[in-house]
Amino acid sequence: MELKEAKRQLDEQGYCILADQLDPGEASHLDAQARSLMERQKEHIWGTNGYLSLEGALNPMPELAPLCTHPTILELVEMVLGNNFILANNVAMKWCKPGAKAGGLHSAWAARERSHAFVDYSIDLQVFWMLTDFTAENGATMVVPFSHHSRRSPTQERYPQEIPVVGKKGSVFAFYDTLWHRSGANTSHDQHRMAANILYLPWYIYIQTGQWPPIKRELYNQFSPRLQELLARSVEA
Amino acid sequence: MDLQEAKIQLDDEGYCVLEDQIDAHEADYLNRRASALMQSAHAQDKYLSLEGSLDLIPELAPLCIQPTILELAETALGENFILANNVAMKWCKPGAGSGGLHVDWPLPSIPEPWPISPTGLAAFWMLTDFTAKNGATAVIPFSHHTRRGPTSNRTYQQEVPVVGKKGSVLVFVNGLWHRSGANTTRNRNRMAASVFYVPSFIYRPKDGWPIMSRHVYDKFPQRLQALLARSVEE
Repeated sequence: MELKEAKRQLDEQGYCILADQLDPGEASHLDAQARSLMERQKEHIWGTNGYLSLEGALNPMPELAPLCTHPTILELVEMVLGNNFILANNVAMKWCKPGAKAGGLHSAWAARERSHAFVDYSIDLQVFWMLTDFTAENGATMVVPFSHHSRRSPTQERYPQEIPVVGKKGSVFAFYDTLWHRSGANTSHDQHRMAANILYLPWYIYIQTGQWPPIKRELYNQFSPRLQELLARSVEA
Repeated sequence: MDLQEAKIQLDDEGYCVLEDQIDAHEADYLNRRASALMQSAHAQDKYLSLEGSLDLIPELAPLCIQPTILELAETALGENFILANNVAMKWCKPGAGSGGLHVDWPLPSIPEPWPISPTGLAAFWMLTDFTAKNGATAVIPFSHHTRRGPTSNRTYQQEVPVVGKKGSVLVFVNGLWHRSGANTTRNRNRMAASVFYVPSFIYRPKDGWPIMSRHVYDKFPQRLQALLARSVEE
């Protein structure tokens, strides 16, 4: 899918998929590294029912850096958010294990509704790097296309329009956080699904201290100038 | 104008004026304090702005937490908002030309179309009368609904000066097209204290405005300290 088409689909339907953005061998390497780390690590891990998330993954896995500054993805982000944006979450690994249950349908509108502000605009761009195939059986993210236009959170647990976002490992799935979405159930016996999740925000959005684990200064200093720019507000003081 | 009308006009037209919000003598006092501070610097300039005035004139504090204005801010910005600019004094001297038509931060650096909800709200406390001749702020009512900036070098017939007696407050959303008017008088100054609020989800750049001195901040009431929590020195 060309970038212009991807942007059009993102605006209309709330998500898009770009295939072949990462070599499958590299995807497998990152997947194996993440699983090994998440088996051992206790800090910054949360999850239930077979679904695990590792927050601030750039710290223990600096090999994720090229994904954060991938030229095609940054071009897409710039088309959506303008030329001044930041990387907010320092990458989160999302591991959906065999037997994991589906998550609850949600969207960023909920937080907006709580603060009674900014309820008219999609600005949070989520990028999921598929480090394994995403299939309907292994817990591919589920979305309700076009739902970000509703400017509100889902009111039901299920919608007939909900679909799994499937793709080959090495693909990138980008979506507005205002799109109604959830992690799918992993109904397989032995196929896990892993994603590296990067959240980009426009520069003018405030990030609360402690919202995500900060990048260690020593590591930050080794990153490329472009990545340092993107992380300037996420590095430890 | 009562508060309910003000809320409706702010939403519809992008601005409103509330009269008699501070005593005229208090306005005179603050005007004199600001003029004295600003007199020496850039004396030749006709339009002067003193950023971070709250640090230098802590007597401005009650203006920042005036209940009526805070209620308007909450209606426009949501219940969580901060004070971003630490108050700027805006002095338009006799002979000052008009400014350029613009919208306020952060909109000029956000891709259009802009959000419908305001990302900023200015309260201009009139410390002198605002008249059509002494440089009253000029606005284009309803223009914030365009969700973009004015076309450059174009004049708009709909532009109106916002006049009011000293002690009044002009409140407007940051997407409203506005400018400082020309001061065509020989001897009438126009002075305002500008207080700029933004929703708390908006990032306040550290170098965007001067920050508050800790010793001044510590003496402020709790409500003001909460509004300034991101604007005080560490």
